[in-house]
Amino acid sequence: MAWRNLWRVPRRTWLTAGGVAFAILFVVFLRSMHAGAFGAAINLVTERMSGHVQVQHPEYLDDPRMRHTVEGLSAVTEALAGHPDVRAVAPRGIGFALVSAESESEERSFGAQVLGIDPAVEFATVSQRALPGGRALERAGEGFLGSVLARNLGAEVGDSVLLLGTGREGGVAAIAVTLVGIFESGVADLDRSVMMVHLDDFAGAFGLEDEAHVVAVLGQDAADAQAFAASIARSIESIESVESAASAGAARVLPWQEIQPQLAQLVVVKDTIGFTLAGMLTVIVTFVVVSAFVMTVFDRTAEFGMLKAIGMPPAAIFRMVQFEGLWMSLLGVALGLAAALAVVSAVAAVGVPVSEFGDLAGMYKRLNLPDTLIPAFATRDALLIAGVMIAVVQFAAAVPAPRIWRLSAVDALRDEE
Amino acid sequence: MSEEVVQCHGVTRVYADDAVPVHALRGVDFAVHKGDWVSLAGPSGSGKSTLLHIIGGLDRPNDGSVSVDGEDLGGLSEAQLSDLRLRKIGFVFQAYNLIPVLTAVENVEFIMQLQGIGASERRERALGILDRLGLDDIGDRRPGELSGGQQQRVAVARAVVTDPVLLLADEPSANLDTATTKELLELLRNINENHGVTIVTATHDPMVMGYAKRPVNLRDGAIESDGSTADASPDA
Ligand SMILES: Nc1ncnc2c1ncn2[C@@H]1O[C@H](COP(=O)(O)OP(=O)(O)O)[C@@H](O)[C@H]1O
Ligand SMILES: [Mg+2]
Repeated sequence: MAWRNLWRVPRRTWLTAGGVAFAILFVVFLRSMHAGAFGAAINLVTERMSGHVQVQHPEYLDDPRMRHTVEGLSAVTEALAGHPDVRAVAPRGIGFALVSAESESEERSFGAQVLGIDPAVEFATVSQRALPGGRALERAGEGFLGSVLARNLGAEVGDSVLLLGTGREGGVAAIAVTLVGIFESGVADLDRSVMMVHLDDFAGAFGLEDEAHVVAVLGQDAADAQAFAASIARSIESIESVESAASAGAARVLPWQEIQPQLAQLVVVKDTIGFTLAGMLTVIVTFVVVSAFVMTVFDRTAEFGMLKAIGMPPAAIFRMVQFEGLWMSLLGVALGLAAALAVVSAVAAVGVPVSEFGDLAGMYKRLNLPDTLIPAFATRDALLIAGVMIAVVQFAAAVPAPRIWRLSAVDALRDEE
Repeated sequence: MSEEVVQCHGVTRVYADDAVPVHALRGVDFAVHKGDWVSLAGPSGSGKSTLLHIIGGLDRPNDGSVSVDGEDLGGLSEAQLSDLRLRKIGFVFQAYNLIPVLTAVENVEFIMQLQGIGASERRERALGILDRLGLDDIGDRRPGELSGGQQQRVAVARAVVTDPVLLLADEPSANLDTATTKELLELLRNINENHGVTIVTATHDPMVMGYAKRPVNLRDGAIESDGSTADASPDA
């Protein structure tokens, strides 16, 4: 009966369902574009570089010195490996060195970031980047060099490479390795300035014991990084209290948003824009739907008067109107989700040139991301906006409720005469 | 002595919302016996509808008391009055009796649904009453597809399907022509005589008065003449 009542004034039903459908289509499309745009960047940054969270010395983020390390490394990595949501744990030593390659022709030196990694546990995407030459780093005594840096040094696979830096306690840190591979990430910063060596070589040269500068951790989903960081922090606290008092409080866990603040900031800006637009749209839809329901109840004074006269309780009439609202919003939700799915998949099939989004284009170029943007259906946001719309319509259907209770059957019947 | 379905004592209704108060009913004493068909007659504005609404628990008197089927309406809350209307009284109004989106059968079923009667019993009883009242051929139609006379007869079916103690009809023939009015009145006579339903109609239509057993004339909110005093219970 509620369903049939929808079609008494089809224009009003379509207005409500259409408003709901439009809000869903708009919000889901917008959020899917954002998810597509930032999903790729966040994935790249987290999965191929920083991890979802990092364990660091409390001062390392602001002051990345050689001596700001996470101590008790083996206990930390062991504890993290046992965490149910952890996919990978990669301890890294980070330092700076003058890199020189001894090739047949000449000897050149360049400053570089030295990354000490453990290939056995490092993220595959970090340790095995695209290789224009050689193979990935496997053991101590080997070096793995960014392609631009290799070119600048005139180094080739098989060459000896010498790194000279300042050790933890101020002494000279020297590492001599054989270049086994050259990587090309496409990210200019990395290819120009990074040299990877085995963590054991790094620790030996720079004077680290059972410690590292960062422990990068991959969890399940970049979106959950904040909660994941808190959970990881609890795991670490639990071992610290048992293992060594010296390392208590000597580590903190940062989600990727703190390690990559520009990217995180961009995401916050887009989230705010999306939230504001969705909020404005919700307010507009609320107004439209409330007025539709006020009109509906007003128009049906005679009918509701008759129903009250024959003994239908006002609460039952109210429920009937609520059901009509529910049908309308479900109709709108179905249409909106179907339209959003169709539009998002259609756009995903062709992609949108990233140049359409000014602020993104620069970031995409820097990160060497493809220059077409593929929207990713924003399921969470779709369910959220659908839920909000259903609530809005139920609210709108409840607005004229006082009139249902106040309405006098006698007056309604007399007005009909 | 026959049972009294309705008892009114000193029923007074004053509409005071305008500058000049309107005395719609001025102390009406009145009773309806079981199985009777009372027709409230009188010129427009004489208080017929007001009295009918008060008897039906739709309106409350300013003074006096009303009881229906032995229940004093003055002591009932709005919710209790609503329930009393649902269980004991059938209504037929001048217009807008039926829910437009429901078919005739569904309209008849609807009132039983409000009473909490199960789906299969509802359907059975609705089809049964339409059949007995000769309306079985229009059961599938919605009010918009029915003539005025058919709508009013479906309204009667809806009103009596719950076996009410009282059927109230306010100007049931106001929108009907002579032929369809006659059909409606034959139907009311049928349910009054063969099914023992007590009826009170309010009308200024002489045809309706002709069918009723007991004409009661109202004028200026008071009973001017009552058929029962002149010719008490002709058939009973
Ligand atoms: N809601 C109301 N407010 C003010 N006066 C009313 C109202 N309803 C009815 N009346 C007045 O009460 C009197 C009786 O009306 P009513 O019972 O409808 O008479 P009838 O049905 O015999 O035509 C009339 O004078 C009418 O104008
Ligand atoms: Mg009247």
